[in-house]
Amino acid sequence: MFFFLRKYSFIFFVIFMTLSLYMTFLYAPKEKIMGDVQRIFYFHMGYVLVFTLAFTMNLIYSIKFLRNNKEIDSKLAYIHAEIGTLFTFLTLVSGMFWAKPVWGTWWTSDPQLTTTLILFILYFSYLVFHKLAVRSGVPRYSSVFAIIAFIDLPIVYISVRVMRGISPVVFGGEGGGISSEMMDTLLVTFAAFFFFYLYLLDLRIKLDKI
Amino acid sequence: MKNFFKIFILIIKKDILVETREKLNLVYLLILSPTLSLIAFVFIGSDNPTALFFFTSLIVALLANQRVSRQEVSLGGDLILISAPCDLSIVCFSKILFFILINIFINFIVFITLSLISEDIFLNSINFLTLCFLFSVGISSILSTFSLMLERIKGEGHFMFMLIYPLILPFLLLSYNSIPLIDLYGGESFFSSFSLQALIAFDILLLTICPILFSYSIRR
Repeated sequence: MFFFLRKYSFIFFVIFMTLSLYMTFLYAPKEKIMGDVQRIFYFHMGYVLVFTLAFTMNLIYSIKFLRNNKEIDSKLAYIHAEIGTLFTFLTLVSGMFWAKPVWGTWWTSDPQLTTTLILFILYFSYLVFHKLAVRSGVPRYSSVFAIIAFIDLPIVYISVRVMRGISPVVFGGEGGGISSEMMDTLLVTFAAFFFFYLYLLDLRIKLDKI
Repeated sequence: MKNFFKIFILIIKKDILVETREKLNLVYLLILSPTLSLIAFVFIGSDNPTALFFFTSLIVALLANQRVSRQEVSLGGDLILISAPCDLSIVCFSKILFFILINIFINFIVFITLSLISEDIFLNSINFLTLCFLFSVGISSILSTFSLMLERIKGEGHFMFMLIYPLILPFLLLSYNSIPLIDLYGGESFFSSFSLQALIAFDILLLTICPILFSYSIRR
């Protein structure tokens, strides 16, 4: 099933992305307070989905590598971390473009923003660490790094709900939430980005000839 | 279980013996901790002495940990421990505990230095000591595990050790959020704060997974 999805990921990606673009700009209603700038949110959430998936897979492959010591697991863990880091960066950038007109500033010391930045720095360090560990003949050390680094991911999700900040709670927040049209658009965008993630993964695996 | 504690205590005893015999690291800490405290006090100021305390302790802990592990490698102690007929997780666990002891020593020196130069410091001592201990456990778990692994790598080992610094950022964030709560709340309110509870959860998690990961990563 997974290999089928990966093989045809580009076709699914094009279909869902076209639909997503239509829904983002034409179907989803304009947000009353924020206006059109709120539409960045759909893509922003798509990036979040991708980095969550990528870092979770990085954790799984790191654990597998520690247990089985197969080189392919180490390589796959690295590939997932690469994709995750790229999308964490995109999340930060798209968040900043949203924050400027809404909060009046590019950056603020909000707990969710800070923890996401930490996550980016963590996995960026992991990428360098992995390269050096492989060169030094100790790739297992980078798996230990990846497992400990993953601890920050739940903090990113918990921080928006528990720590006092200004980031909005999208799912299950008290009094917040989004309309059904917005939710439909968001789900289609999620699907588009999921296939984009699979497509990128497929390309990257082919590049490394795994 | 009996053997576990026997080996565990033996390794701690050995580390304490080596440190007291060599004395170089203890002297290094005795000089570095007050010096860095004074430098931080002069440059950062005395507006928030608690934050100053944690900042200084952190810098000293980062430097001290590498020194302690390097001494172990230079004396060949790490090879004896790694080839010893016991589970490697015990080695890592005892090293973590030993570094917690060193961290308490660092905290003690920094506290005395800052008490001498700053008047209003640490109103609620129980909350403060709790945070100090939790902070030390988290930092010690990560630093000890990685310094044990990386000090034996020649050349790029030091640079790789610097790359693990971001791993302590989540702890720093949680500890930083807990600092204002030390003086604000007393007793139960402090312990029911999210930052402190998260800090406790991650300390327990790290204390459990770090020795296991260490034994998996260093296979004989």
